Amino acid sequence: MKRITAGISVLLLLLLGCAQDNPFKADSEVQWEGGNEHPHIDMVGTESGGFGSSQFSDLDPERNGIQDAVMLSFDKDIDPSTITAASFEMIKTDPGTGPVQFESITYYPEDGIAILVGTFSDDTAYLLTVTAGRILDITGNELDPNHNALYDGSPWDDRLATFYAGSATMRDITSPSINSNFPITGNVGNLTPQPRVLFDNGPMKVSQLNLNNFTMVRTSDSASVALQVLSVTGSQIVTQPVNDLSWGTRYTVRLSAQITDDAGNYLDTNGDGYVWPDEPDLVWDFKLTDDASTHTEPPAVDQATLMPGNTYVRIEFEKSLSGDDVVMDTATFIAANIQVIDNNGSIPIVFETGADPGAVNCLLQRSTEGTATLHVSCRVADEYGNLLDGNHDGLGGTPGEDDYSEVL
Amino acid sequence: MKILALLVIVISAVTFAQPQTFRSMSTSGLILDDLDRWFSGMLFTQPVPDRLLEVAGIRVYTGLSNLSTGTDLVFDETADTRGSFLLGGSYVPLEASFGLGILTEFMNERFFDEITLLGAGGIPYVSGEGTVEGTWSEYIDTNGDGTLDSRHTVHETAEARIDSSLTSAGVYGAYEVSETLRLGLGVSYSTTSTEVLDEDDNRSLSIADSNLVTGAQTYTLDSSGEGFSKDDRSSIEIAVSATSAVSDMMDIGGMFLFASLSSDISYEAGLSGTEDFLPGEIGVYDIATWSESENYSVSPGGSRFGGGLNMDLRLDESWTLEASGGYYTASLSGSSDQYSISMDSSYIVSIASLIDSTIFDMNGSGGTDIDITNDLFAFGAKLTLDPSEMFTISMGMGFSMFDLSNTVHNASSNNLVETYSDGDDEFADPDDYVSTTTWSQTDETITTESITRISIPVGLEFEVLPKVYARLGASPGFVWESETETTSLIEASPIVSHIVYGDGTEQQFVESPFETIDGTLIETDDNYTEIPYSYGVGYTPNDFIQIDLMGLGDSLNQWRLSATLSF
Repeated sequence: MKRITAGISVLLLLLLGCAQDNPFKADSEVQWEGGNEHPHIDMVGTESGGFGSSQFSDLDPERNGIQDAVMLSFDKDIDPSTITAASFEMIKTDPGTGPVQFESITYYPEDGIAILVGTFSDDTAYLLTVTAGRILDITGNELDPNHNALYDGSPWDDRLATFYAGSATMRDITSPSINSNFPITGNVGNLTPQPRVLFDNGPMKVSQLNLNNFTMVRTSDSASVALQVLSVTGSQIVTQPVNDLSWGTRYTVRLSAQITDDAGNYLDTNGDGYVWPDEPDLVWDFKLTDDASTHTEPPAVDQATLMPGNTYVRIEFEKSLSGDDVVMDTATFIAANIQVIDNNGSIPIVFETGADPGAVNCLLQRSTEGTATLHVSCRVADEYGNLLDGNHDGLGGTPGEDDYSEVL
Repeated sequence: MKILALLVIVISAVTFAQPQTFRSMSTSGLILDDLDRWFSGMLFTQPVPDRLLEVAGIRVYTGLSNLSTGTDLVFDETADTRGSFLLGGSYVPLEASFGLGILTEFMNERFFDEITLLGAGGIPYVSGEGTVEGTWSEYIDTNGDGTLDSRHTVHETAEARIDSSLTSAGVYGAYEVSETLRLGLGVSYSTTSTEVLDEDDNRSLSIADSNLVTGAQTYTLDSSGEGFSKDDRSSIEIAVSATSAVSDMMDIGGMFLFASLSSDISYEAGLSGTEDFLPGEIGVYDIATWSESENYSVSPGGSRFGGGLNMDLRLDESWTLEASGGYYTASLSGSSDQYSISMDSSYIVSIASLIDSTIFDMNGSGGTDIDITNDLFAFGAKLTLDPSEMFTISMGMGFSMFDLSNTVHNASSNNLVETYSDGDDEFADPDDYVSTTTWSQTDETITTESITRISIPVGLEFEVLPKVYARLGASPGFVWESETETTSLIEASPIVSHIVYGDGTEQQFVESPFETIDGTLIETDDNYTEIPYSYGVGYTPNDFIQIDLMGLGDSLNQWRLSATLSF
């Protein structure tokens, strides 16, 4: 009897063991194929013209109107249940306006393509809006047309596309961007310079190019500087100070990002092709040159040398624009402002100044290992408090931009 | 998670045996001493308190009785086993119809692990127990000019110990209801506590490098950790027994035991540290910091109960046949979602006017289910010839079947977020990123153990000198042992990293190939015979003391001694 009991126990154990042979449960949709990346529509086209085409052509001449289809290609696996009419809005934009209904909407998961079939009119332009938040991938992520890895809602994450048949004009859906802005250097030799911005992909809405959206302050104390508009067109705004500016003084100009072109597209300030809700204003500095009473030309690194024996680094400074000798503020020669970093990390430094007021010796407190790189902060200053000008544009003191680095 | 180590402790809470006297230990458990009769019974599975009435007079058990472990080497001061403070006894007045027994035990001990610290070149330079600390330095001529230029100094501490305590007390009573029936009742309570400080968790390290010429510090590292695991458990046990004289020659008895078991198991550990490549410099950073903590707790509870029957048949004045059988089952289970682990670390470095930072934030959580059961069936019979006080021999047969099953179910999920910034505050900076990595796993380990034993023990006791008794025992047995350990992966997700750069670019990586161990099975079956021998000596110099010896050998260090006072 005991043997039978023992035998049953062993059998049950074996069955249990068999049941656990492959207990692994794959949850492929979530962790393996979906992930957390946002999907995008990477190609748009028409069935008649293929991807990249925005022109409708009649594929069924026996029927009235132009039979064609919009093709959308997704870069991730999309939840087919979200490819519905509610996700798309098609309107006629020229001539006149009005809604357009698709006859069928089909998603082909194996190709990642949606086909929106409709009948369109000749000499007509259309605007397709893929409404933000409607289409989801298989993990539930929303489309991210503005490529900021976030779901921002409408209008930021609406995906727009335009089409036409015949000779109609499509709506402008391209955001305007900055072509150039002036002046941007530290050696402006005019007491009444003309701060201005030139735009691409306009025309800009001229009514928004005003002195509310275009301002200037004195950098040192943010004191407002009165401007007057000399010229405004769809492609530029030109201003001028009402009064003379001051020699040796730095000014900051700001253009608001909350301006649009005539079609209502917001400014793409950094020109990356996408507009984010927190798109920054365009901000830049310029500075007037010195006269006899001012001393604002910033210092710059003339040369840095790792001396024989690798025991110290000698840094020599000069005036940024003229290359003249400079007297440095030795109080700014501190570890927080000058670093030497090698393969083992930062090297402790003892600073030594000698007879040359424009140089410093950085005594390395341990041996270097591998490649050593010198970093000089823009907080290093000359005797007048002018901060280092790492990029030699005459404007010192901008973190990152005016830091100096050199492989020794 | 140190769940497996903790599990061993939990199992020991479920399976325990009653203490044995030296007399029974040296005669293969066949010839019982007074305490064995009422405190352990023939099968050594539970107290049989009604048998107190068989032990007339007063017995006093002290620390000399060596009952707590039976292994104390009283003549060896270096023995690891320190034993406990034990006090108890029994009292049955002559001609009385009642008896009382008390057994209390207190133990408090601390053991230390050997710790070794390694010096320059990995060569040990200090070893010891408890808390060990040391400092060493290395001086280097970095430029080969014949003078020493830099110093590397290391200060390290480590601590390891195990603290254990035990408190138990039991009160037992017996009452003779009639000439043919006696009853017994016992209640006991015990609590134990063990706290382990592991060397790996309790350690500190400080490193300081300096330039000997200028005195400037060039590097520092400070790291320290603390942690402990703790196991507290307690049990309340109730034992009842009854014996009925069905005839002048035969007694039949029954016994029942119930014990409530509870335990609290926890583990906590923390570690923090700083590594600074620019020590002492204000406003400039090349510094790494880290902080980790891990904790776990589970409070399994359960019970143990069972009982058995006993028969004593006196064949004549010299021969006695005794048989006993019993079944006991125990279970202990508990679940916890209190497992958590967190690790925060950062590396911050000043590069010119910018502060480049990488910050790691890891969090993990999970839960554990523990389910332990064991069953014991034991049966034994023995025939004892006791013709006089000078000679006793007993032969028996025993059968026992023990089954243990424990299941541990572990689930954990983890999330690691790495945030990097180059510090330039650039809008839509492609250099900055946030990386989120996730992974999870649920697994289960089932361990079973089965031991079946048939033994044919024999034990004898005879007087070799006046008042000196020699004892011998042998217990040949057939043993069938089997163990299985099955691990199963219930569910797992791979390590998936999702990186979002400052410019909105997204990247996703998955551990590939993603390899899993879906299940393992380890089985051992062993059948063997054994013949454990035992021997000892009993000496009764007068009516008030009984001295028992075991472990007799050439060296007194090996001797074990037990002394019982009687009045």
